[in-house]
Amino acid sequence: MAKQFYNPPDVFSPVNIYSHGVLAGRTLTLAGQAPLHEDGTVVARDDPEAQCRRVFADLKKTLDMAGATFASVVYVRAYITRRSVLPVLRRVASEIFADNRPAFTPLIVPSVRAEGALVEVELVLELD
Amino acid sequence: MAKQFLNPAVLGAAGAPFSQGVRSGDTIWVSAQAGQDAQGSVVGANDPMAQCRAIFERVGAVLAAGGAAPSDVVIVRGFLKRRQDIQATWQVRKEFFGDHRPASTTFMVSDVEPEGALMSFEVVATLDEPSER
Repeated sequence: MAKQFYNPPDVFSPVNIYSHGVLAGRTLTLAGQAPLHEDGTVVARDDPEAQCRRVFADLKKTLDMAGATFASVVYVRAYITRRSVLPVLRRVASEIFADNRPAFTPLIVPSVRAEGALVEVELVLELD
Repeated sequence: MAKQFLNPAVLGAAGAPFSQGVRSGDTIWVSAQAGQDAQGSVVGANDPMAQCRAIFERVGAVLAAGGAAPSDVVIVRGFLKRRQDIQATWQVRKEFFGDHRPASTTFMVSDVEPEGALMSFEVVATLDEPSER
């Protein structure tokens, strides 16, 4: 089955060895998205809400490129560096997902790839 | 694809904006489950066996809500705070899965949600016989 790869030009990649989104069949898998400016620097250090908003804004760019929306998300995995980020993530995600209710796995990890990032989110979507 | 949100009452609320599990087509995604009761309280403080049993009871309930059984699980992922608890999880998983042997990944994390949880587990299952639900 032919795969399609999505790499929005205005979403930062630290290295050109992966894609932000891959569509295989009707399953769209998104890479872990960190809160990064276009130049790769971390957005709003120590501001979990600003970071969460940036993460979802960048995920949306990849979804837009693939012609998908947050309504098709079935699974969300969030990597957070401290527990206190979780309620903020839930609040921001509630605005994003509206009536959708995806499965969710939060993981509290020592750190994520981008130093200073408090959160990283990956998604799986099943498209119509 | 039509989705079914799986939120068995016995698990208590998943917390907005998420579900305890989702069935999409013939794939069932079970959200990471911690050893909690229906009120959200962690059971078996510092007891990995008790927590793990509670976890797989919850996983089983979500699978059942999606029309799946433990034998439909294709991968299990375990997230543990302490390496020393692995043996207990193996025993509980053996009880839960019997002779079924799904793929498996276990790794250590710096903490587990909610406070007091020693571990959480997620699974993905696929149904052998496609159905129309």
